[in-house]
Amino acid sequence: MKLRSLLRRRSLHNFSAVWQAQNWVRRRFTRSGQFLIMSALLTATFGINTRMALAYQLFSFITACLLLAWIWTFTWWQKLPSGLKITRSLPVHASVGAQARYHLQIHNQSQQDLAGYSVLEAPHDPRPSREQFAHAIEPGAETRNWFDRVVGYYRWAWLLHMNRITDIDELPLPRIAQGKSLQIQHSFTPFARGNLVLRGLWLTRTDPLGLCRSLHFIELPASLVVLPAMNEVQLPEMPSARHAQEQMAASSSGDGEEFVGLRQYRSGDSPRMIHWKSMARLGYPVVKEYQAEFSTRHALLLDTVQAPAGVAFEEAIVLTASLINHLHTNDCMLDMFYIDNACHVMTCGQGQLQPEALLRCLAQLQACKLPLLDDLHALLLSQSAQLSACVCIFLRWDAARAALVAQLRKQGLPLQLWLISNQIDNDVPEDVQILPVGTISAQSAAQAATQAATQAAAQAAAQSAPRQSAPPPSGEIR
Amino acid sequence: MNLPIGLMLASLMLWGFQSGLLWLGAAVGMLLEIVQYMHRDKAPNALAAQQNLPRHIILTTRLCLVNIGALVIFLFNTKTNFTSSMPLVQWMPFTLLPLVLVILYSGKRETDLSLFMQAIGERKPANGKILPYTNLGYPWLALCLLSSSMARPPGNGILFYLLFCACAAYALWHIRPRAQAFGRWSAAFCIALLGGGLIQFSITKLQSQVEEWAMAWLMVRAPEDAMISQTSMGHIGALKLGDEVRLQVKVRQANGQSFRLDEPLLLMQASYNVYHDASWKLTGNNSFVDLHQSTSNHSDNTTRWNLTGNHQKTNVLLDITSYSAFTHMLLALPLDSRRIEAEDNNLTRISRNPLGSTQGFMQPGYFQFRVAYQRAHNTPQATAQSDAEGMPGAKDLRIPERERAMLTALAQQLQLPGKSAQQILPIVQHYFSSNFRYSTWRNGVAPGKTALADFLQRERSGHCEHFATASALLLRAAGIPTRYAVGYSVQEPSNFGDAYIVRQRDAHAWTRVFVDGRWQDFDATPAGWLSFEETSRWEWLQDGWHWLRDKIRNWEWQRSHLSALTVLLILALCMPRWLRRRKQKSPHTRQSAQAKALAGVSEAHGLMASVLQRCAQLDLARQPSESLLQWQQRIAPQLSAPAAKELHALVELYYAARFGQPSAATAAPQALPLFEASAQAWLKRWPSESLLLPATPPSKESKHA
Repeated sequence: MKLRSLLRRRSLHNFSAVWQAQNWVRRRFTRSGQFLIMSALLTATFGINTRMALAYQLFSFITACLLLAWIWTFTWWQKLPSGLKITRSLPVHASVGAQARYHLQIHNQSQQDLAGYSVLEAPHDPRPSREQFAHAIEPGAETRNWFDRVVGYYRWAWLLHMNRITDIDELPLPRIAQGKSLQIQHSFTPFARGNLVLRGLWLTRTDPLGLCRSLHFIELPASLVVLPAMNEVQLPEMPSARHAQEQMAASSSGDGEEFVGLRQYRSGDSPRMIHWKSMARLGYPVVKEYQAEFSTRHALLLDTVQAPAGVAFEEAIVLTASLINHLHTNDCMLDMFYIDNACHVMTCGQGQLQPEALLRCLAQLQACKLPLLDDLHALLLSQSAQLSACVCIFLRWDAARAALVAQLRKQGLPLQLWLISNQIDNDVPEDVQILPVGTISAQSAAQAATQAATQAAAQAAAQSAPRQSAPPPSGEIR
Repeated sequence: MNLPIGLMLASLMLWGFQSGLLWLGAAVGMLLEIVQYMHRDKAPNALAAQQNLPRHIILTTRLCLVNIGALVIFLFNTKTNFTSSMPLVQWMPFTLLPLVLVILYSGKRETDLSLFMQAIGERKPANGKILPYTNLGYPWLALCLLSSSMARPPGNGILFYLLFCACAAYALWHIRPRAQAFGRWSAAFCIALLGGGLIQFSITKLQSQVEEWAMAWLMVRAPEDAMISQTSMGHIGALKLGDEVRLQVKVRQANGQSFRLDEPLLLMQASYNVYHDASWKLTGNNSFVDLHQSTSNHSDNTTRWNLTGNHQKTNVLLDITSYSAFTHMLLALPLDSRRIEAEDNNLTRISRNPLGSTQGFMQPGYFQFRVAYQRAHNTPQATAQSDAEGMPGAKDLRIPERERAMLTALAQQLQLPGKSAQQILPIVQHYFSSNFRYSTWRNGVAPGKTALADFLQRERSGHCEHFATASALLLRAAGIPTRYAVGYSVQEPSNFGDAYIVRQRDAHAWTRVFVDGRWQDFDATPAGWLSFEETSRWEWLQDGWHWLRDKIRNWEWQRSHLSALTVLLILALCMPRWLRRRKQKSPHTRQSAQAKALAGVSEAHGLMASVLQRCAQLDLARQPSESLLQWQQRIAPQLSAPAAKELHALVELYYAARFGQPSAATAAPQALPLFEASAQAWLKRWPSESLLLPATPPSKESKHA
């Protein structure tokens, strides 16, 4: 065990060092420059003996180009003019798999025009901590051999991918004359949930050959919560024992659905809710949002007690987010019971929190190793009297969970039970819906592919249709 | 896959030009250009036809792998010296041609790299792409250019460089940043072009230098082989040996008085009798026989070996210092050596082979020995040496078949047959000194000629191995038994002390001829050959260091016992103190203390979490941005007074335990157990239902507390 932990520590250290070097090269060199670095290594390998082959000539020229480009970036004419002012306006949150847009406002108050520059975002350091690396379980870990499991490259790569949240491409800036301002839109598509922290941005400018960048860091800290992906959930009709709801607003009463507003399409929304006219005007999908009259109070238990970070944990979060999305649109108050470093409950709907608050909380939820299972169950049972139904998501099934379910049933509470696990025992009740690990990810991937195809078709249709001169309905979008 | 128009054609034409298959390169390049042009950015309506593209790419990749395997088998069976990957790389553009055609035909700019992984058996990634989509045009271009550089050995280097730079200029121009002005781009490219030339020059010089260092290193570390001497006669380029000092020789008369040499002294390490394909070998009886220790003088701890078998007069003594990385090495001895002496077991054993090569056994490192020899050649005693080196045999007259005709003709040309040995030697000496010149640079051997024939008939310049081999075989053609000898030429007095310095570059080869019933040294290399060898300007520094090292070593030998005693004494004095300090600062001790502290902190954290949990159940949860103290102050009005007061004390204790707060009355080590006890008591005393009650009378336990 000592050897294994030592190897893991060394692996983490080595991966971290390699990533740091790789990150430096990626930031400092353009893709052409990176390609030339690889070519230089290749030609150096084959051209090591100058008497046998002429590959050393290739190496010489490539090295000269790279050296020149590198030196060029330190020359005075690559210096950033003073008097630049940049602001960035990020959206409140973004969703996994959905394109997020934001704006950059650049004021050129310097004495010269700004030409040939690009913007490169400087995200936070995504390297996993030692704690994370020691306990996470990457997808397909069960199929790896001993060496891969101990060294943990795949685990490192997966954690890096999850912590990175998104890749934001370099944005070339058009020429900005002195004294002028420019507002430019940029976009990115997150691939993992979490808190995306941006330290600032690099204003870059390449050498004449386009191989190496001169970097000017501008401190512009900002952060953005990336909500988890949401899938379409097939949930049976939930019981609607109509409890008295003191918190309910009078204006939203009524059995029929009431139109509230429009908002940007989020992963998991039904295509039937798309507002096609707005989409045609804006160029991206917009959905109608309704508010229902009566609300019931549902509990949503996310039982991740002592579950390691891994695919099952992420899938539980995706399922929870999908259920929040589904249950909220069906008019209810929703109590989400979850565990972080302690047990928590959050309530949304009917004058309480917005569902986005729950999703934001889920977006930043980390695996918990504390043995607080009894506390979580006690918290749920203490509030079960006010509930009309309960949805439970488990990552494992054991006697404690079985006891909780039995107690909830004893109180006559309708239950919907999900179990995300590959290790299924015989004592799991029949009404527990079992999802083998990977099912939700596959569903998300399929949904993302369909969504991408729909968006591509919509964009193609929008491009082919004559452009309308009506202003965007910004007032309608929440 | 997307490249500027004409770039693929240019790169493949360059490959064809280098390979001598210009038509093939041009034809394939033209085919690729046409396919690329016709299918560039295929319209979206062809998407349906591209659904099978991944399968086609996987199949074609496998076909290319088969191509590569077949090429390896073909090259292995057809190339006699298929030891490098260069022919494989050279033909790589053609082995991968089917794949390139498929990708070009698809019309897609970017290709999914994970397809190549699938082609070699990797599973398809379940969710999302792992490898990126990439434009493979530039990797393909790089491969073509690399393979063209493998095609021909150097000879047209500058032309290739210029053609390559032209291709590179086209590619770089295509990917240039649009905001950069043409003037800047072209200036940068020209600088890179010249810089590349400069780096090339530096690389070739560096390689030569590294080869010299490697040769010097190997020659120091590899023992001389008495069985074979591989000459550098076929070597191309400069032959340069290093400045490293190999031997230090003090020359004294028999009475102990030192004197200066009036001519170079040749010290032989080994001699060989059969020449074949640029190497000399010892054939026949080649075993080394141990020499009997004739005397062991216990008073001065000196051991003696007689080389000639009987006591004979000597007039010169050589004190030789050398270095050996091994336990044995061939000793460098002059002609007519009579006796070897070594003190303090510098040499433990000595053996000799029939041709007079002498092998000494020693401890690895520096060693010293003394050689006594008879310097005057024309004394009757000199003939005794012939017994030691053996009488000449048929092998000492053998001429290789490939060289026989040329050497016989040359002997006829010099009118050597029929003349006596005394007449022949000056003729041969004169022939080489007047018609040949010494050079360490070789341009390579002309096709169809042996290295020796090229030296004698075409080049007429070479280094000592050429002269020694040529003179040995020419004298054999004239009927004189000869051998090829290697060793050192002693001629450079040291700047430090009265010894002679023998460097790596003083390594020499010459001929031993059997004339007048004894073996004699015959050196046909033009006189002054050493002046052709390059010397370093820092040589004096190296010599000084060598001299100083020698002095220190001698001093160490003399003082070894005293030094060892001193070191032991110092150790004995310092060890107890060091051990005490080590025990105090032992990482194990420190680690266990840290581990204990961390365990305590973790427990404290858990207890505090329980306290927070207890309050959170009453909707008094701590906000994420709140510190513990702020949280306690916020909720204090809602708690009963004693509970709030105790909670305040608890938080302060927690701060002291975790962070060693200076304001806290208790120091951190004592605070930890105190906090644990207090927290457990608090949790026990204040269940959730009684926390919020206004000033409930405390229980008996709390009164006691």
